[in-house]
Amino acid sequence: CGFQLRQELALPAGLDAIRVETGDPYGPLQRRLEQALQRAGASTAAGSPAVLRVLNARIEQKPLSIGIGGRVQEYLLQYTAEIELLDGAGRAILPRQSLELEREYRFDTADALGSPGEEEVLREDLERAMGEAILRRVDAVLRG
Amino acid sequence: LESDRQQPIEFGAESLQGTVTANGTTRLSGGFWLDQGSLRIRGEQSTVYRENGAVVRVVLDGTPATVEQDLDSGGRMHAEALNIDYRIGSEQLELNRDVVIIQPEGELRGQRLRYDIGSGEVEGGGSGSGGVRMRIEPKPAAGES
Amino acid sequence: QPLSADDPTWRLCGGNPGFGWMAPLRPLDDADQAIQLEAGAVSGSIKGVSRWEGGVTASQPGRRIAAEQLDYTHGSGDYRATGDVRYQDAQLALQAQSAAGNLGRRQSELDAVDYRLIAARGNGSAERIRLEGELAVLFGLEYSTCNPDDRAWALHARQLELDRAQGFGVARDATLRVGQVPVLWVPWISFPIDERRRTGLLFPSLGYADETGIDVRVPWYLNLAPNMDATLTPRILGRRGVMLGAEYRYLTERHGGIIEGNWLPDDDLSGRDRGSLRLRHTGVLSSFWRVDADLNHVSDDRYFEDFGDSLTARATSLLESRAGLYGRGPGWQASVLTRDFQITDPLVPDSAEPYRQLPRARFALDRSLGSLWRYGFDAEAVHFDHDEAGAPSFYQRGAAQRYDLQPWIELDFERAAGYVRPRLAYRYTGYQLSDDFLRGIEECPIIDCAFGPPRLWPNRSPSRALPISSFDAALNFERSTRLFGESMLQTLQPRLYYLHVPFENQDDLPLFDTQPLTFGWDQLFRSNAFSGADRQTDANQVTLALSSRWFEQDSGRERLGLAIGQIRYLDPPRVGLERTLPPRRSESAYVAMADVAITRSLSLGIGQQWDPEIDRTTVSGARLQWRGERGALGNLGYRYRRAELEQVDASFALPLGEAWRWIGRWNYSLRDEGTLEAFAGIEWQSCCVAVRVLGRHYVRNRESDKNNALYVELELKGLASFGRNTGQFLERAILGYSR
Repeated sequence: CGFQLRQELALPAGLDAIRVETGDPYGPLQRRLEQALQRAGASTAAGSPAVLRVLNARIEQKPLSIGIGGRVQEYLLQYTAEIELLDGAGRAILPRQSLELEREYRFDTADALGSPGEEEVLREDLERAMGEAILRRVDAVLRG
Repeated sequence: LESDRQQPIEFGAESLQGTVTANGTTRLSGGFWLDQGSLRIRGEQSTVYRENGAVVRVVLDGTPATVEQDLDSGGRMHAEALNIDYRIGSEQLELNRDVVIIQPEGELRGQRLRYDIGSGEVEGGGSGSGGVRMRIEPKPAAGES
Repeated sequence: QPLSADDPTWRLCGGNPGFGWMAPLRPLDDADQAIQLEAGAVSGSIKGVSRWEGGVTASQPGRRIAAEQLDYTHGSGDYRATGDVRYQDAQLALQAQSAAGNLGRRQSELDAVDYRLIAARGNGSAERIRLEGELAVLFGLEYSTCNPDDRAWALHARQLELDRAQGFGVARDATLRVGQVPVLWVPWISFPIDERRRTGLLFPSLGYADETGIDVRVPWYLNLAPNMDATLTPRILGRRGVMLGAEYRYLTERHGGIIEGNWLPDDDLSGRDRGSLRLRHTGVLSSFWRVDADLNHVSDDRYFEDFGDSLTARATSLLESRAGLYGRGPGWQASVLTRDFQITDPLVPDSAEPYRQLPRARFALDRSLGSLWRYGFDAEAVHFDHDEAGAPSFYQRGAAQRYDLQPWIELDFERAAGYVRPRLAYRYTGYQLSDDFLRGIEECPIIDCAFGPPRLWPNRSPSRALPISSFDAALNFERSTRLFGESMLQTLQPRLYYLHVPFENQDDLPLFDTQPLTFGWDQLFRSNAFSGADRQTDANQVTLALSSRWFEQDSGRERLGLAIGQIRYLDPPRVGLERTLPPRRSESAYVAMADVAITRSLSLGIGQQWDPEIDRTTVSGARLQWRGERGALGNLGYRYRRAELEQVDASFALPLGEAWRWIGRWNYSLRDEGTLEAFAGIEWQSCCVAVRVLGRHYVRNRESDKNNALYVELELKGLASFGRNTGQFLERAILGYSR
């Protein structure tokens, strides 16, 4: 059916040194993106000309569904960010585009105990998922 | 300067028409000059009017003709135009075409201007005369806000 | 408050009004700073006063004055101009009968003035205006952001100071006229003339709701300093009385925050004092450490029901207060914080209030070892406390400390074709229970034990230690293909996740902050089914998952994503919250997801969970979203959670032409056969006015009483909004809506 294992990505010339800018230099997203780029053979020194930029990354909590008692039954955690990949000459390899990931979790007033804990677990999942989503986009556009 | 009028007057040019008489006019051309104390007049040709031996009026043309003089109020005045009519007695200057008057208060330009060196009285412009312009240097004393 | 002249809010105005005669000015930093006078004719003395006539212009860097006639005093620099006087600088353009002032000191007074703000959107007329550097003071004036020939509203005032350096205007003895009708008189107001300032909301807002009756707020905006401001808002509630709201905001280079409070003494409906307090502060201490605090308190558990503005506030059952120190550095994260909770839901007993954490300290290390290995540990120490009013259950009272330490090591072998990630961790969790925990039956006070044997805690320091091993592996396949008529890159990823955790009886561990996590896609790959450390799942299970995505070749945008996964339990998990064994399961529910970007503006998201053991759908969610131009938006949603909720949610924001916009939402609960929320609103806007009328029907309180409310908002663009601020409310109510 035409599927074959994904080949190692040969980074084009302008992208052998890419700096990652996420606004949180020690956060999990920065580390995940740098790790993946290094594995693809790029150096991620701070001064590199090319840049993979994650802008206004924000996690917001909103009520998703409200019950007949006027209280939240499900919360929605929404991670929105904008990304762009510019090569050394500033040309947009990956045009600026927005990414939106969502996770829902139950909120049961009877066992309100664990709800704050669940939100923190979901934030970590979202950070990991955003890293993967960004890398998939970068990979797809470089292979295109 | 007031004191200029007590100074001897000298003037000359390359050529001379008419007689140099106590009363009457003399036409001079080819590099006309006239000095009297701090007053210095230069032009290409001019007509000098004399009454009882004293030069009372000079009409001159030049490209441009110039009149310079120190001012009692301090500083020096430089006026130029293609045609200047200077009544020395009353310190009245009449300037026509491409007029520039530079004196401590600033620089005045226009096509037709009358200027009294002593009092600073000025009158000029008028319809069809191409207007008049003045540049006033910001006074340090005034202090920019 | 969009103030700058080219903000989209003014798109209906047809450009910023100016005067025909306006022309570019000499640059401010022009080397030649001289005053240039130009006219048809000149007379008088250039040592005293010279008179310039016949189309005079006096220009300086950044300014120009033109008139029929101008007298200039050469000594002092004073001037007097008459006849069709025209003044222009970078921010202001005027037409006046006469003017006088001093060119050198950039001072002028002009009479009978028509003025236009240039950088901002404001214009009008005044009997007199005094210009002095950056300050312009108008007397006997009229101000509006409408076009001069279409005065929808105007502010008439005795005096208006426009401070262009600070960016706001202060008017005194001001009357607001809408059309020709004087609507409001205010002795003193200030409002922004550029966007640096926050809302200049100075005008009362008006609303009505069944429960509170009329709801009038009269805010006073106090601009204390460039980086500090405060707003006092007395609020008259028809059936409750007068409530005072106060908000103080401060901002320094590294810190900033808001202190917000409301106080209603002796609420007529409930006969007690009502109020709320909130402190929000964030600060950067160093490149690694920052401080963050969000402290909240309300007077009673129905406060939000009665006074909550936004949808989120009203629906809150658990109000958290948290303050702490957060640190992040290369390979480490740390936090020390305190957390307290307040129940804001009358149906939730105090005992269900989560334990206070005074403090909770966490440290996580995550380092790489060579290019293949990673190691680190997660450590947490918490002191739990519970105010005596209501222990979670009278079986479990008192304070305790918990220590949770989990060192781990992981092989991280990843290639483009896939990855293999074996991981081994060892988790130790220990407790130190205070003496309040009952050691034996003899210690039990009669009333507590009268109902039956209480929970006894003979072991003062119970603990649990378990190895957690997992193996995560995936292969990445891809091919070029076509979808929706475009060339796409399709990826296919089969993934396997094996988890092994031996069983250990955890009945002697108390429950402080642990609950089962919501089952979903992420739960397939987690090493614990519970939040918090009080319970660690036993596991001998394999997760099988398959996901596939289609990307546009040129932009990398994802057009279609499909995924399905399930856990196969080789040994059924036995750890649960209660002491009874959870039902035996051999496999989890299937989790399936689909996300389709059908076109640039139409997207569909579907999530489904189907439990083979009961042959039922347990969770189902679908959302169709359409986005058009100019903020057009449509949402259609369905949510189902077995035995919990089933609702449909339709919302839209449809512009009709340039001026009109319809907004609406209908959220219906199929399970309770009732409308949860329904509102419809119409927005009409012209160049400088926006009118919004919004009718809302919603569930107000725990007893499911319904409430109808009417929001009327008249926005005088650039000056203030007058009426219930619907923008904020809509942003929460309609997913994706922003004004």
